[in-house]
Formats: sequence, C-alpha cells, structure tokens
Amino acid sequence: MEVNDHLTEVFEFAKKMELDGKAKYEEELAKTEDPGLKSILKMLIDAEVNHYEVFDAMQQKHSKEVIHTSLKDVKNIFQEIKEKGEKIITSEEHADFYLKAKEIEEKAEETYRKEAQACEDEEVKKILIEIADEEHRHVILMQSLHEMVLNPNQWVENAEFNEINDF
Amino acid sequence: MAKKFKSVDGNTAAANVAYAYSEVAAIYPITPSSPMGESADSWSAAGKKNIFNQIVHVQEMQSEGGAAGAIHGSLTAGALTTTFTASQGLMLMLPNMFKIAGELLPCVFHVSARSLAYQSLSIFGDHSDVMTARSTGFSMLASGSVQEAQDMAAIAHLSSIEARLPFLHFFDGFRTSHEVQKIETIDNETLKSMFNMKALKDFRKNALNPEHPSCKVGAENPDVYFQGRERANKYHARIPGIVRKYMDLYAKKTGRKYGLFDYCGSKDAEKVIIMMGSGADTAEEAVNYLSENGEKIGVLKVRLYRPFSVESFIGALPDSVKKIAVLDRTKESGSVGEPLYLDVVGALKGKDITIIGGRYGLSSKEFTPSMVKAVFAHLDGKCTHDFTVGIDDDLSKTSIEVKEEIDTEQKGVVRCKFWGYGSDGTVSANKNSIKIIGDNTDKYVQAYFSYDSKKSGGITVSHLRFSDKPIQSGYLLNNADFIALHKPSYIGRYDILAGIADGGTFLLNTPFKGKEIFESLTEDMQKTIIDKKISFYAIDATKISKQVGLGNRINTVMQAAFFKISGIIPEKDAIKLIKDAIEKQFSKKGEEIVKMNWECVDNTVAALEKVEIPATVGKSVPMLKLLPDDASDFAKEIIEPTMRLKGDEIPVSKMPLDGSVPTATTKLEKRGVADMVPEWIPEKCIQCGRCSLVCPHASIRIKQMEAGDLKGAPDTFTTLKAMGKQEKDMKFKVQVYAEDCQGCTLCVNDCPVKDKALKMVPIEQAREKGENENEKFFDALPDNVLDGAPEGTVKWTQLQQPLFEFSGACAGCGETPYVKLVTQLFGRRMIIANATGCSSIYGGTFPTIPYCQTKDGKGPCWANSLFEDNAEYGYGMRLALNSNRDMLHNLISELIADKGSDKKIKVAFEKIISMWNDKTLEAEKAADEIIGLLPDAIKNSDNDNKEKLQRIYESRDFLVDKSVWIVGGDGWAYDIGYGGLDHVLAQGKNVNVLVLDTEVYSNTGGQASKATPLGATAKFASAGKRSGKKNMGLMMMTYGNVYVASVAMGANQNQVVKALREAESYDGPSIVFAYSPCIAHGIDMTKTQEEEKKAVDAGYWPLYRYNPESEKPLTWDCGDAKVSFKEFLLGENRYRILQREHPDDAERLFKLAEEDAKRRADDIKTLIGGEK
Repeated sequence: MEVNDHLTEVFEFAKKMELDGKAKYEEELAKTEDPGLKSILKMLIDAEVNHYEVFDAMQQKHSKEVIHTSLKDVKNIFQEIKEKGEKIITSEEHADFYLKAKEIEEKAEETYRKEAQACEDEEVKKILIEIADEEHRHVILMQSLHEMVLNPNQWVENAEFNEINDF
Repeated sequence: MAKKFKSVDGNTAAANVAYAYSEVAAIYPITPSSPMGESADSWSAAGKKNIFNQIVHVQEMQSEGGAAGAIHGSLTAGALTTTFTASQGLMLMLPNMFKIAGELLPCVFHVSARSLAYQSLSIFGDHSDVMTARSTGFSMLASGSVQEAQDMAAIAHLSSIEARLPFLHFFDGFRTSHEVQKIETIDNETLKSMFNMKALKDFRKNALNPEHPSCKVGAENPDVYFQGRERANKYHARIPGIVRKYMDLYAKKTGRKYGLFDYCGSKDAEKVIIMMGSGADTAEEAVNYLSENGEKIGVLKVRLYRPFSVESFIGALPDSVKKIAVLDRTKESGSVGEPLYLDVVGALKGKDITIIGGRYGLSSKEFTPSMVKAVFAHLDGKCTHDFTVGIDDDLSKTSIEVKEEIDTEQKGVVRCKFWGYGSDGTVSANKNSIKIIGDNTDKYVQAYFSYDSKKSGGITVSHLRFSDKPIQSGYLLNNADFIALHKPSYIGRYDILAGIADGGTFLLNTPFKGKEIFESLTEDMQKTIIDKKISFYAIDATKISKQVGLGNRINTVMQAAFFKISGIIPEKDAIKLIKDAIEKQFSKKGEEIVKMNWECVDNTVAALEKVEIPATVGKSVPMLKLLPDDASDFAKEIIEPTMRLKGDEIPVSKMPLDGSVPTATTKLEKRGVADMVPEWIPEKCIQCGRCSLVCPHASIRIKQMEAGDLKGAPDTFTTLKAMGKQEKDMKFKVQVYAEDCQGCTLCVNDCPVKDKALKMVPIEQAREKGENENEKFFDALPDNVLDGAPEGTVKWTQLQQPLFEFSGACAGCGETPYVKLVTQLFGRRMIIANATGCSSIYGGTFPTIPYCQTKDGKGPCWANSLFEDNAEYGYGMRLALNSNRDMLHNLISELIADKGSDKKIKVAFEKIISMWNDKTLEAEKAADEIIGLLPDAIKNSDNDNKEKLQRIYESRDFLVDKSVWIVGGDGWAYDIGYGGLDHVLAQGKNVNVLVLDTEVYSNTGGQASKATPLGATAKFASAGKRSGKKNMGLMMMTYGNVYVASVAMGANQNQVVKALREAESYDGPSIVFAYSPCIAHGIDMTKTQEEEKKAVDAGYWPLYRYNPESEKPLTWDCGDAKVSFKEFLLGENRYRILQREHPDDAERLFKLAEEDAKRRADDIKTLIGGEK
C-alpha cells in the first residue's frame, strides 16, 4: 500500500462515519413529525457536520504522517444500522432517542479505542485516541441529555433529599 | 476588606465554619442535618482546606452513637473534631456527651434541631432534641437565622477551644437549616485570625500520648465521685465571659454584634416575650411593627442558653417589664413548665413580674407575627400559663386565639410562591433563581420550600422573598405578589391563589389557549383574579420544552417566564442573567445543551401569553371531590383536610390518642398524578401475572372470576377465558388502577410478550374508556380465586389480593414490589416491625396507610419504633406472641386432659393442638370452629373450666400463629441496627427479616452504608467507596440455624417467591436480602427490573438460598457472569460519576469491585457450600 493511502485511511473512515450518520439522521428527520425529535435530529446533524469538520482539520494537521490501520475493513456503525434495517427512532420519547444516540456514539468510540489498542504505530495510536476522545465527548452529551429528560419522571424533590446534582 | 455575599442555606453556612475549624468530622446521616455532613464530605473529597491548611478527615460511622464515640476518641487523642446531627441522632450521642464534657474536651456539635419521635416520628424542627442535652455539660448556643448559623458556629468553635469545654450549636431544623438566605460570608483568614492558638497547643498537650503517659480515669467510688463532679465548676462559670469576648471580637471583625441575650423593642416595655431560635426573629419583626403604634412591648432573644447567665439575662431585660411570656419550642409533659420557662422563672425569682410559659412551633408548625400579637394580647387578657399558640386545642383548651392577621413585612419586599410537582424541578429551579438574583444583584433573597411526604409525585411549594434590605421573616408567605402554578392538575384540589396581593401576578403552565385558559380555573380563582385585578399569564411549558428536545423538562421555561414577568429585575437584565446561569450550569455537559436551554428561554419569552380577564366569572371547573360520600369520619375529618393541605386546621380532639390510625386508606387518595398509564391489550395477554408482580404501587392487578360474577359489569369490562385447568368456567382480567398509577411503565417493560400486552396511554384516555368504573367493579369481585394456578407460581401469588397498595414510594421503586409480594403471601396474619427509612415513610405516614385489609377484615398490622432498634422491636413482638400462645396452649392442654370437658370442643381443641404451628387457611378453619363452639361451652361449663374457656375466648386471636416480619433497609440492617439484628437472629426464634437493600441510605437522600459496594459514589462517599460490601448473608449463615436468601425480582421471579415462602415456613429466624434499585443509583427507573437482571447477570448481585433444614443447605440460584461487570457499573450514574471525575481511580476501583463481588460469592460457595 502506498504511503498516501495509509495517510488518509483513518480519517476517511472517521469522516465517512460522520457523513453516514448525517445521512441517517436526515433520513429520520424527513420521516418524523414530532417537533422535539426534529429539533434533536437537527442538533445531531449539526453535530455530525461539526465532527466531520473536526476530523477534517485533524487530517490536515497530521497530513505529513503515515497512518497504518485496519479500519478500512471495519464497518461503521451507521452501515451496520442500515444493513440490519434498525430504527433509530423507536418511540417519541426523547429519553429513548438520546439513549439510542448514546449507544451509537459509544460504538464509534469503542471502534477507535480498539483500533488504537491494536495499533503499534505510536503516532497513529495518538490520532485514533484523539478521535475516540472526540466521540466520547458526544457520548457524554447524549448521556447528559438522557439523564436530563428522564429527570421530570424520576427526580425527587422531598424534604429529606438534599439534591447535590443539578436537575 | 470587601464584603462577600452568598446565597446559602443554614446547614451550609454552619458546615463551612465547622469545616474550617476542624481536623476530624465523625458523621452519620439524619434529617435535617445530613447536608452538613454531605458538604463536609464533598469538600474533603475536593481537597478543601481548613484554617490549618489541612484537608479535614471526614468519617461516616455506623450510627450517631458510633460517631459520638469516634469524636470522643479523636478529641482524647488530640484532634479538633466536630459532628452534625439532630433528633434521635442526638439522643444516641447523649452518653458520650456527658463524658466529653466531664473530660473538658473542646468541640462543637452542630445540631439542626428537630422533633423527637413521640406519638410518631417527625423530621421537622423544634427544640425537643436539644433540650434533652441541657444537662450534659455542653454549652448551648442558639442561632435564629442563616446568617447567625454561620456566625454562632464560629463563636461556638472559638469559645470552645478557649474554654476547654464542648459546645452544642443549634438552629431550627428546616426553618433555618434549609432556608436559603443571602448572607455575608466569612473567609478562613478571618476565622483563623480569631482562633486561640495557645489554647490549641494546650489541647494537644492534654491529649493521650505514650510519650507522656497518663490515664483517663475509668471509675470512681462513692467517696470521691461527688467531689470530682464539682471539680470543674469554674470552667463552666467562665463560659459567659468567654462567649461574650468572642462575640465582641467577632463584631470587630465582621460588624455583626451579638450578645448572650439580645433585647429588641421599646426601652420602656412592660410586656416581653422570651424565646430562642428562628421564632425570635419573627417576634422581633412583629414587635417592631406593633411598637410603631406605641405598644410597650419587646422580645428577648436567648443566644447562650447553657450556661444560663442570670446576670446577663437580667441585664438585658428592661427594668420596666411587668409581664413575660416565655415561648418554648418543645413540650415536657408533666413538668410545671418547659425548660426555658423554668430557667426564666428561676432567674427572676423574687421579682414582681408575672411570668407565663407557652408552647409554639412544634415540628416546624408555623409561627407568624400574628401569633406574636396574640401572645401579647394573651398577656393583656387571661394571661394563663401553659398555653399553646398556632394550633386549635379544643380538648385541653390550652390554645390562645389568633384574632387578627397582621402583615408586618417590610415595604418593597417582593413575595413569590410556586406550586410545583415533586419531580418537575420546581424547587431546583427556584434555588437556582435565588442564587442568580442573590449572587448577581444587590437584592437580598430568601427561599424556603415546603413538601408533602410523598416520594413520588409529591407537592412542593416554594416561598421566595426578594428585597433591597435584609429579610427577617422566618415564616411561610401568607401574602404573595406573584404566584406560579407549574402543575395545572392542582386546580380544584388546592387553594392556589390564597393570599395573592391586589394587583399581583399569576403564572399558569397550561396546555389551553385563549379563553379556555380562564375557563380552566375554578370559580373562586376566577373571582380572585377579577376582584384583585391580577395580571394573569399563561405558558405551555411542556410544549416549549418538547419542541427543543428536552422532553418534559419544564423548569427552564417556568424559570424564564418568572424572570420575565415578576419584575424583580428589569426584563432585559433578567434574561441575560438566566442565560448566563444556564451557560455556567450546562457548559460542562456540552454547548449543545446550553443552546437548547437558551432556545427554551427565547421561545418562552415569545410564547408567554397575557390572559384576557373577563369582567365577570364564567364557565369554570368545579372543586374536585376528593372523597366518596360514604367515607369514614376519620377520612372526612383528617384525610380530606390533609389532602387539601389544610392539616394545620385539624383540632387536637380529632387526632388519634396513641398514634394508631386505620389501615387501608391510601385508596382514598386517587391522586391521578401519572400523565400516562398502562392499558391492557387482552388479545395479546398470556395471563402470566408478571405485570402485577413488578408494579411498585399495586396499580395493576389480575383476578380470575366465575362467569356469573360478571353480572352487572360495565360494558368496557373486558375479560379473557382463564388459562389453566379449572373445573369451572373461569374468566381472567388485568385491571389498571389509573388514578393510583405513578406511570413508571415497569409493567409494560416487564411484559414477556414480544410486542407487549400492555401499552401506555394518556390518563384521560383511560378515564374516557371507563377504566375507573371498571376498577370499582373489579375491586368488588371475590379475591384470591386461585383455581388452576399451580401453587408457588408467580401467577398464583398475583391472583392473591395485595395487602399493600398505592404507597407514596417513588415511581419505579425497587423495594415495594417485594413488600407487596410478602403481603400477598402472608398478609392475612402479618405483624410488621419496620425500621425508620423509606419503607416506614411510604408505609406509615399520617394519615393515609397503604397496608390494607381483606374483605373479611384481616390484614397486616404495622408499627415503627426507631431506626436502630427494629430487630429488637420485632423480636419483642415475637416474644409477646409466644407468651400469649404458650398461655393458650397450656389452657387448651389442661382442658383436653380434663375428663369433664365438653366432648365436641375437646375434639376441636385436639385438632388445633395437632396443627399448632400451622398457619394455613386450614388452621384458621380449625380456630374458627373453636371460636364458634366457645360461647356455648362457656355457658354450659362448671366454674373452674368456665374461667379457662373464658380466657381462651379472650385470647382467641392467637389460636393461629402470626407471621412476624422485621422490615428495613440496608442502612438499618448493615449499620445502625446490625448489632441488634445479629442478636435477634442468634436467638433462634421464628422471625422473618426482609432487608430492602438499596445499597445506600435511601430515605435521607443516598448516603453510603456498609452495603454500598466498593467504587460506588454516594453521599458521604463522594470520591467512591473504598471498602467492599459487607457479606452479611455469609455472616448470618455461620449461625447454622438461620434461613438466609439473596433475591432479585427482575432476575428470577420464581426464586423470590420460593425464598420468601421458605423463609416464612422455616420454624426459626430467617433473613432475605432483596436487591432494590433506587433513584439514588442514577438509573432509568422505568427499567428497575431489567437493572436487577443485569446485576445478577454481571455477577454483581448473587441469588442463593441457605435453608438449614435441607440436606444440602446452600442452593446457588444463579450461574456465572454472562455480561461485563464494568458495563453494568457504567449503566448507573453512581459509578459513572467516578469514571467521569476520577477516570484512573475509577478503573482501579471498578476492577477491585469486580474482584470483591466474586470473592463474596466464592466465600459463600466455599465456606458454606463446601465447594473447592
């Protein structure tokens, strides 16, 4: 394999996953009538675009480096969803939706971490970890949103409870 | 130095100072003091330093008694030590307090003063607890406000070290401990500058130290003890002077001046009220108001209560005083007066002053300026001693009448009241608003929150004040300039607009639009709005929140609406402030979340609708009828006013004499709090009964019925042909109790049918479909029709009537399905001793009780003694039962042996003796036969046997044995009650223990217990717990004669049923540990049953049964781990927090936690099961 092919492999995988994600969320957006879900999907689409740009910028920064990974043989999470015919929106409950989105982000993060662990090239490992960290930020975001929208059903404001966390 | 202000509550204010002046804190959770310990623990975990530039060692103990012991030891070994407690907790510390004082050990106990358990427990504030400590030798310093809680805390610590004596610093539970006020803070540098370092050196020098050996004497004999007791008098006598010295120094440093006794009012006052705590501030406000009209009155605030300085006291009183009313916030039955009264009488002995004593404010009962006025009027009038104010004592006639309501609040104060729902975040939003306004403007702020005792769907009322001057009013809002109703379903149930000011503002969260909004109000509300020219605004908060993807989170919307229309700060500034606060709060979670919330704010501003007010009242909604016409007197006189939040109006005569109340009363509440409730889809149902089993509130049930029983059924009463081998033509039905449902969806999630035989529908839809009428018909059908259901199956258990229903437990509660199941199995003959905790709050809070009765009037009876003594309490019940039954057995045996006994009854007696330990329905029948024969037998028998038969008849309830259940949480079983529980189980008597293991102290908000696993974060373990979970099952198995089981309903329902039945039928002690997911775990509470399964599948929670009667006692009921342990942990926020905040530590602790869980299981398998 040529050096330049290796160079782009990891970033192209990451960028493709973001684009696939964007496409999947756009597809769901076209289907839903729920204004809340529309809003969430738009946010996720924006996030995928933002992620794409982040990875693109990282690729530019690391353009002089040689990348060796096995990622080209790995299917991204959105390809899997498509092949399995899975739905992202399983209900109109915002909590369910955020949970699903979190699982997707977690799988993406896991993919990069697994690759990073297997990778012997220290530089590539570093980049994969950087990407995984970025995916992790999204996991946290989805987790936080999931917790936040669950609160109105589960939060307890009671004389004996001193809530330390934010609602 | 620039003054620094902060909006904090009294607990935080006191804890901050305690932390600064301490090196060690030994703590234990108890409401309302727990937040002090929680703050200290979290500050310690975050590395906050005290004035000696050290991190404080904060240690949770197993009880307050343990904490007091640790404090005593720590002081003896030379570390500055503190603690925080209240109520029964202080009671447990009393023995040590005498020792600490006797050994001249300086320290401060900070107490958020709370009622003691008497006819019942109460978590709210009064001085009953601290007054029991007045003979300990501790000096006692009282605070009356949040600012004082900080300032007196400092003065207590400063005085204690110099005086070489311990201090008890107290302030009113809830009224001060939980009130948020903007206070002037004090920094460590200033605190340090006042601290007597030489005294500290002396303290350290006096500590036990093998380098300079000494002995703290253990015992003294009659020849010397008395003299020894008098030895330190001089030290106590010095206290007033030392406290005064530090009050003066404090004034110099901060500008806030305090005296041992502070007088406020006319210099030539003739009538004076003497009191301490927050009520004194209210009295001062009233005195200032009344003095303006020339009244010669005053109030004397007591700050240093022990030692009571007579000289300072008399010096503070005006010479002109002729009449004094001493107000005590406690009751001492049988005394000639309450404690403060006695001190005042003693201090003024020989003076020509009329002194009377009265009681006020027990258990945070409101104390208002109008009541102060009534007390002065009483001094002018009847002037009787031993009066009460604030209640209607129609029985002993102690209460004085509050004839006139006065509004004494300062001009310009803005008063805002918010009606919220226990889970909607209203309180959180208001705490946030107070901080935003208090910390970012020159405004003074005050917030106080009142709640009912329901964990799920409770009512919250927030009382907020804003002013340009400091706020003194330590009482709820009687008048409000702004009222917001966040939960529209409260309309018609509560008096929402009571006290709204002329020209005030009303904000309503409502789905209605246009004129429908006004029509959705009651006529009374409409009239108030018209008459008082109220500005009425409406917003559909749920819609706005949903539109931006935040589900039902209405709090941002309601908060933004409040900022926009309340006029406390200019709208433009208000919106900016709220957006800044959102950024600060959510930026760590992601900018997307910040933007979503900003969008919420913008949409709110745009959507807020000013409602057009018609000239006259029109179409309206009626006041809701809460009770059926045939409700009992107790329901009408007690339950209804309580349900309408009018419990304060219940007179003394209507209260139960000894704390006993009828059971089966939660069914009257019909709270209708769930937006969505389950709907049965009969055609998909496989009649397994799982939905009924897992329901925490008994709001979905199954029954079989004969076809003939369906005569007169409502048209919508759908049934199925019952599955199973029945001899009769049986029908089957799943019934939803829509008004009692909490909407947790556990039933839907646990339905084993692939595409579910239940679905969630809006509650309105259920009502329209006639579900409430169906429920009434279903309820009246015969219970326990078990035909065709194999004994011991889940379905068999669920066809039996639950005798625990509609409790106030959290939606999705992990505990209550077990409690309910136990009542289904044994409820007819259950006697329950319940440890204080969640299960006692949802199980026995006045006035509605979830334990209920069969149609023939049998059912569980229930009682709670304390937290620490529950095993012994239940054991005592067993002893009493045994005693009664032994007596009965002897009498029956004597009559069987007597040749002259009636033959018929003799046969019946022989039968019951042959099945003496049998508790089945057969035994009940045998007993009923005897009971039926006894009247004639008594009539026809000779004198000697007549008396015996008479005694048997009187004790007939004991013919069949009862099932004693000792129920409590892990905080009780593993920690505070462990010693007693261990002792009780060791006795071998027939008691059953159910441990609802949530792995934290759930009721007090989630503090770590010894059941908390390694690595879990909890309050008091905010950096993750460092020690493993106690293997208590194993420990109990070592007795060899205790039945032990570990169960998790969501993992194996049949095993739970099997374990409970085995435990109960075992003729000896049994203990069942039931895994109970809790909101404190930070999980999705709609999936608690799934979470239990995951816990077992991950090897986190074991399933086993140890039956001493079996040939092979140990049965391991779960296989090897099937899913990742770490993945399970990370599904719960209590573990995720650690990973988020201390990722490296988390990795290590999670690994250790997994090893620990495996070790615990292996220990049982190898040590008990004999596996190698």
